[in-house]
Amino acid sequence: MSTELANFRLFLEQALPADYDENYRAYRDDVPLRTAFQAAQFDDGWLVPEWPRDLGGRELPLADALAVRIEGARRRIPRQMNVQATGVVAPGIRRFGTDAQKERYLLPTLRGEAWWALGMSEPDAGSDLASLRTTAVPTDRGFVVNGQKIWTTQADEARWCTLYARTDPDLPKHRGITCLLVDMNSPGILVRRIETAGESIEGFCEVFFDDVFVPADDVLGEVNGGWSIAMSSLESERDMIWINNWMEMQRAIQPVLDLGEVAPHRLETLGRLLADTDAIRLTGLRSVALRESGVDSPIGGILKLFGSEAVQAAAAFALDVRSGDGPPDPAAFDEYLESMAATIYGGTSEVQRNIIAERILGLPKGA
Amino acid sequence: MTVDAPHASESRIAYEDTSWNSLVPSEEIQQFASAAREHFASIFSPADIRNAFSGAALGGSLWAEIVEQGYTAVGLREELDGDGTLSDVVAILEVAGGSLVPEPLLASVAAVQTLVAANAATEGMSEHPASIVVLGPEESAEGRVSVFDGRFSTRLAVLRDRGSEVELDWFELTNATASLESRAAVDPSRAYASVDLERANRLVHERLPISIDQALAAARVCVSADLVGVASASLDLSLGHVLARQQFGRPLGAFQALKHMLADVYVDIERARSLTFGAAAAVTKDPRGESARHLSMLAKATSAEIAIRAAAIRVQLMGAMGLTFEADAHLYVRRAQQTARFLGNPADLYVTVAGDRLAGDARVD
Repeated sequence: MSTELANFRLFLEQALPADYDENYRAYRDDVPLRTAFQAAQFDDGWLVPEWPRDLGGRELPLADALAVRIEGARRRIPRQMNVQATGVVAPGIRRFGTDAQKERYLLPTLRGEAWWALGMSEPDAGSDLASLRTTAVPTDRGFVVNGQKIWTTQADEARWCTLYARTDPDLPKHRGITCLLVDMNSPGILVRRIETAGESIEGFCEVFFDDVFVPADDVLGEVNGGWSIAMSSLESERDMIWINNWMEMQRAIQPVLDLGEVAPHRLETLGRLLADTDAIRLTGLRSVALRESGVDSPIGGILKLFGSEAVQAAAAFALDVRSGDGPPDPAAFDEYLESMAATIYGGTSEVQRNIIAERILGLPKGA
Repeated sequence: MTVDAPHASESRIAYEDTSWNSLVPSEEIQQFASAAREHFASIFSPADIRNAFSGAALGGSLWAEIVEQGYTAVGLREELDGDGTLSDVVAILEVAGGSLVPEPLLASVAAVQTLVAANAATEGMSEHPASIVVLGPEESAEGRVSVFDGRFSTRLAVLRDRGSEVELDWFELTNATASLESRAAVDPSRAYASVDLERANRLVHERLPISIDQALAAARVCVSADLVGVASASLDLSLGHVLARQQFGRPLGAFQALKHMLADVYVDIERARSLTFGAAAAVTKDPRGESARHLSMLAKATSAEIAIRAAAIRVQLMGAMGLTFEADAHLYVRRAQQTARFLGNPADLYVTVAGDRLAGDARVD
């Protein structure tokens, strides 16, 4: 075991309640613990351990950083209150932001103080994100935004939003989009919460923009360069996605294994799910190894599709086994419902298959 | 019952066991594998397999060249005249599998790796065409046994499952002992042969204090690699077809139904490849460990299924042409089916691992 991993375990001893391992479920909705934990995790350099020290990291080599993340997932550390802030927004600002933007946003964002919404999907732009119609029209000192976003997670609680808006309607649709860092307290923004199908689905909202002024300083990256920011934002999450999928597979399967036996006709399915659990881990590690050795490997591109579908299959199996011939087990049903989100957000499975077919296999775009 | 307690599963999570670098073949072995791919294509054509259906001789003649090129020595320790690790074996066998080479490279390497894992390998072993036979607790070890790809075998590893231990014999076979099985071979390039053990000469006898699934871990990794190769070659050939073939005024590959089908095949192949390299790494680290045992079974099961699926999908994508004798598609279907059940039917392997994990996790660790 690496020294860093040992240090991280020491940190967990101090930062988590003594009974956390046994009762972590009871802490799932403990807002003060989740908030304090993220701040402590950041302050000690464990939130983004591979990042430079002046940005709150420990400059760990990827191997150690990954071991830390896996250990965190394995110990089921408290979930961040606003997970897209650290997973998507902070890496985006670090890569594309100005010095002033980094100075202003990075530390409070990582520390969990500045919450973010991702203003991407629209009523007529879901999988086809590039056809978004929210406009940002240049004015003297910035932009005036009009339009509507939807499925915007935590928009009602977030202070900030990475808003993708069309700044040039005459350019091809991927090229006329700009990413704006929008203060959700700006005049002209209306947020309406959408009731979700179950409590395990994170709350999402509709957001309406009516002549909202955004200062020119709040453009992230280049004007009309928003598409590459949107694409890279999904990349920065890739290791966390497979680590989480791997843990969720185990979370679904473990209660079944704990039964000690299942009906013989279920064993084959269970065996397949065990294979998928290992395959997620090993494919994730392979993708990291390839990246580290400088090989531009496409296999990272399959993890989202494969991982999310495997998790869903495991959750469906666990629901079935745990419910027997009675009514659906409510806890297992919640996890099953939650697993349904994984094949939708961040690019549906169907879009993932198109991407794999076209970009990895080289098949033509078409019907 | 405590549902989902972390401590219950802690001992099962082996992420620290797998050094990720061993999951990716070295540049050196990748170059070797890619040269091997060209070499196989230069010494043999799938058309040779077709000719075997009308009685032409197939295989045997290329063995000396295969040994000379060093393919059989990959993954053996230096004192066994070899070089590299089981991960390197995976890289070579994948290429050989995809080429359909009609020599018993897979069976021989699997046999020798089984002896290596049992610490019973000796110098020069890898030069002989060989295979493996597994006998269940109830099966007689006398008389004739049916040997996978055993037409040219001059060595044979016989593993007898004795429950808590395995008896491992390494036989020398003479020309008189092996004969083609009377039943028609689905894949003549990898036909079963009937071997009379009474007339074989026993060179090694070992009693191993391990289970049959432990004893077979390395060999299953080898089979898994071969099947990943069959699947991967089938996908490549499918892609070539859907890019070239036009219907309704555009390439077949532009139709989303087909794109999704092929995307799924690709995902399945990478899944199988990850499990295969993971199993190889686990066997290298601890040949008799639980991780090696389970991963080798799951890898082999997964690879067998995807080899069969990828070969079948290629037939479907080619339409009626896929079912002609002249097209190669059926040769891959035959190869996948012939190999898929060797050292364990996929369904049985899944069931065994699942049962084992259920029993294991119910134990107090």
